[in-house]
Amino acid sequence: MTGPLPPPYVRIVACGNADRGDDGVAVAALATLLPTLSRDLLATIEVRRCEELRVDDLADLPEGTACLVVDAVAGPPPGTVIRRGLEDLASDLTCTPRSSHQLPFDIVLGLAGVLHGGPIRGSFVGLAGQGFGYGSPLSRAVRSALPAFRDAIEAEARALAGIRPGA
Amino acid sequence: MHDIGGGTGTGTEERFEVAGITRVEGEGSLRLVVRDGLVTEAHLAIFEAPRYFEKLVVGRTPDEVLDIVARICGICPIAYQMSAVHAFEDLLGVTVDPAVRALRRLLYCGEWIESHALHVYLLHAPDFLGCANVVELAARDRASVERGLALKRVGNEIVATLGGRPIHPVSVRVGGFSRVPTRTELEPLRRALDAALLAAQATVDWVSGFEAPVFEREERFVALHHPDEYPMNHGRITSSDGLDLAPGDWGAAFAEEQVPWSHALQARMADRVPYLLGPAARVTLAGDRLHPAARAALDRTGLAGSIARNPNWSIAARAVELVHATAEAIEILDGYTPPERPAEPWTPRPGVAAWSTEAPRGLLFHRYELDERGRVASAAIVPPTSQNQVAIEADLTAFAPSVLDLPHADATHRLEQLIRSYDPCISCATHFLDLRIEPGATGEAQP
Repeated sequence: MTGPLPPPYVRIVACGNADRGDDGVAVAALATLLPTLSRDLLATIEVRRCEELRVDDLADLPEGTACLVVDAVAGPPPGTVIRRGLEDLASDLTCTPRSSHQLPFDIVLGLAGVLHGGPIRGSFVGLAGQGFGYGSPLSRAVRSALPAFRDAIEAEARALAGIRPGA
Repeated sequence: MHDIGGGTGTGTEERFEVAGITRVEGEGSLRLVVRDGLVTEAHLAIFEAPRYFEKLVVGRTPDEVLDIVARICGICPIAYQMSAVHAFEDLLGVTVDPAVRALRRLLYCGEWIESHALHVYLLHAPDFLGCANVVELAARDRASVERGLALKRVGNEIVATLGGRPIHPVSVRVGGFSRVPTRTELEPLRRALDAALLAAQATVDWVSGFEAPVFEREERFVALHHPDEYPMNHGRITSSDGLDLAPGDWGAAFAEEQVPWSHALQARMADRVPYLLGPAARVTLAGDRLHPAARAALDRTGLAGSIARNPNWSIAARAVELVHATAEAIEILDGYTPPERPAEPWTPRPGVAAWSTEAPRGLLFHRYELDERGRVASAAIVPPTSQNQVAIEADLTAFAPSVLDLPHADATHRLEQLIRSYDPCISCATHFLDLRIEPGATGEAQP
């Protein structure tokens, strides 16, 4: 008989609409990345899929669990991979998460921090999109950058989980 | 409950400008100019890019339209689906099963709950409590913010259970739903709603203790009115001065026009007197159809008159509607028996489909012309925020003199707070161009 699963080290929150062009890049990247991850890394992560980042996705993080938010962004040249600490992203005006957030990112993060009892520890990995039209496929720029995007997600997840690359 | 006021001021010229109004949905700005104590310009500028949904639906079937218009708003997608589906069903002569009708009201209740909880707790309440935003409010009063988030979560769960997902749901179909839930699937909602009703009632008590800026005016309200129920999907378009129209006849009394400072069309009646939609209009015009629990909550506050006269008290109207929506949702769930089939069959036909329903922010009108194949040839979507713009600007004009004696920053904040009291959804409202793309051309936008 086994006990309850220990809490994950990393919660990956995949934001975006899969049917809105490049807005679906987080879901597309994780769908192809997860089957390739090592068992030790898979054992430390959980993945939540959401269209928009919600306070609830951050506020109930278990003690010691970090959060990795993955989303499309607008602003930088299409295909650019963005890596930021969560708190840095809230004050970075050069790029904004592309998913429709009912509250601004800094408010979601701040409110979740208050309810969580402390700052939310974690990172953001984004990929700059080109088009977000309904029913559109991923743009060429985003498709070309998908391998680098997946690598960045895995590297960030490993760093947050404290697992060395290749372990 | 107390009112707080400002004085009357004079001066040569004073400008109030808010480049990006915060704690509203979408992007808009305020520009207000006062000369010698008189407001000479009050513009709620909506500069968010137009979204062309009325063109996106051209050539589409009615069921495709329902999924497309849900994308207009992440907060009130149900409203867009409901106005569209009732318009099509009215044209096509489709009568839905009573259980489907009840499920659609339940779906709307879910949207009202999540939308009103968002605005009351996360966007509007900080104004009344001297907080810069909800983060500051949560640090000071964590329990209240958690109550608001819990309410919002219940609303989202209702929408997700019936609509397939909490944002941009996909289940509404002409004639019914693509799938209807079993009683067992609805049990978790029923359990959650008992606590939600208590939270909604606590919300009414909480907001009725707020202090609102002093401001009173006689407003023309417009809302649906139904003889047997609080207005959501059915009823006639009525006003506080006697208007009475079928829900598809919006165009008989209202028209849209463009103004230079807004990407959103402004709607007016023939006499050009501003009118206001939304919770305050509904509570004022249809308060006699509130659920008894909501009516009792409203009476307990003693704010019915203030809601009608002072737009800052719209927060109380929203709180009362939270009680209504949770109480009605409980009754619908308790009486629910799944329909024999999720949707009634229908046959495409040409004609004009038009209907109005009550979005969280007020009357939402849709009109579609269907061609011989039953596909959309043209569309007009008139969201509540675009209708409320004229009233908002008129109220800003009337309210501004009362804050001129305040420090400029405080006066600006009061003006911004007044705008927030209408819960404008700017993203919904932005449509202003007739986009025509000629074959062989690169594209041309014409006003």
